[in-house]
Amino acid sequence: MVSVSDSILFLAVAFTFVLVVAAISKADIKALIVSSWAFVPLVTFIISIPYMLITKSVMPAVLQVLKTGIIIMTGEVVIYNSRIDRLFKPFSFFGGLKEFIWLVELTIRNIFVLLHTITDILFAKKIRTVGVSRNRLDFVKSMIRAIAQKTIYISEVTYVSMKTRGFSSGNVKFVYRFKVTISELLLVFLLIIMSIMERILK
Amino acid sequence: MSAVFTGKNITYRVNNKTILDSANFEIEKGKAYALVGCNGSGKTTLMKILSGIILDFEGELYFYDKKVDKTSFDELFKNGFYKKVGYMFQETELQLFNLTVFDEIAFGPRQFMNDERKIQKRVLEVAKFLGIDNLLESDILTLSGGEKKRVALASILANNPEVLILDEPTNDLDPRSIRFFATILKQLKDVGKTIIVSTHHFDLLFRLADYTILLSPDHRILKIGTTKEILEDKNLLIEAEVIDEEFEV
Repeated sequence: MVSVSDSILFLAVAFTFVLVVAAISKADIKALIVSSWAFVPLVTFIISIPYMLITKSVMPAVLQVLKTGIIIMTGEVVIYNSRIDRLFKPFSFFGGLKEFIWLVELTIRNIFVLLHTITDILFAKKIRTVGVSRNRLDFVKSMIRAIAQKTIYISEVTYVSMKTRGFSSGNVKFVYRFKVTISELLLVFLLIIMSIMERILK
Repeated sequence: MSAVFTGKNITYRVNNKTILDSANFEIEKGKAYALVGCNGSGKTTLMKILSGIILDFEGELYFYDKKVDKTSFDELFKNGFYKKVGYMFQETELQLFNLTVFDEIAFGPRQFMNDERKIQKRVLEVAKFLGIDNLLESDILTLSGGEKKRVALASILANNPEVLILDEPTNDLDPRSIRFFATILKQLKDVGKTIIVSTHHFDLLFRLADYTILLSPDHRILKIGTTKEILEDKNLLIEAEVIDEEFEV
């Protein structure tokens, strides 16, 4: 709805709504605003400067920036409120994306494992450091090397683990469970009605 | 007795360093074997060779009457080698690569089955057997160490393999969980599964293993015998550097 709206008022309402949801979700509002607005909407604004100069109209560019920022904010709040393992499941509705989604999930899981590893390394360093930390550059260099080695190792073990359970890259078939419940259908229906209403009342 | 695995003079070297030296053995169908040896004696390597992960070894390995080597393994793989042989890693954390317990257990059956209802049924059966049916929707990253071990075993059992190769499955477990694993593995042995398990836990050895393969610090098989026979030979265990003089088995 935000993407097709040309109403500043509606965008303001949408912005407030996302902020309220974020506040209820106990998200860090400041971090949300900075991460949503500091890069992509700003770049969108810069890109639209020539358009503004040519058309001598600021409004379309402002609307575009607002839409971009609100959509990013909405996405961030959705991700914040979603269980990571279910985040991508709905996309499996589109058959061809199954392998892609599975790879994304695998990547997310590996990132988590590596984040754990990095935290452990940093903690291990902290408990063995007395006073001021010396040779920081050497430590960073060796940490990067260790992480690179662990990344390769994790990938290898994961692949072997897949293979020992019968996986073959030539025989990729992943079936995900995707069940649409009545409540989800009602929500989609409601969104469609709201979208139509927004266009009518504009 | 038919041998599931037969090894003849199996040697494995990495950069001219010997990791396993001239191993000769026969693994009988339906029996439980424990691999015992000090750290670095070659237990994991032998298990990886048996499960087809390491193929560039010297010597001869047979799975029933089929030779296992680099050239023949593709054919074995296509014929469902991993439907017959399941391997559980020492590093459970890395073995589990899906985000939910359900997807992790279902991964194996999904390689061999198309019917999602049958897959769900199989997952539920295995999860109930291991007491993790309440965790199926859980995020794997949030599980405890013991739960992860159960999920790892469930993911192997889901394919219903006839041979289970388990690399230190009771590592980092509390005594109660070790006993639980021993009971589960004993039940699996009783229904005819062949089990090869490496362990440092004598409790598991006593409860489960019919035979013990004792590895020496210089990567040789020191002795293969009944578990009772080996555990009663204190000098042999000292020679294998599994225990010291003060240890009482």
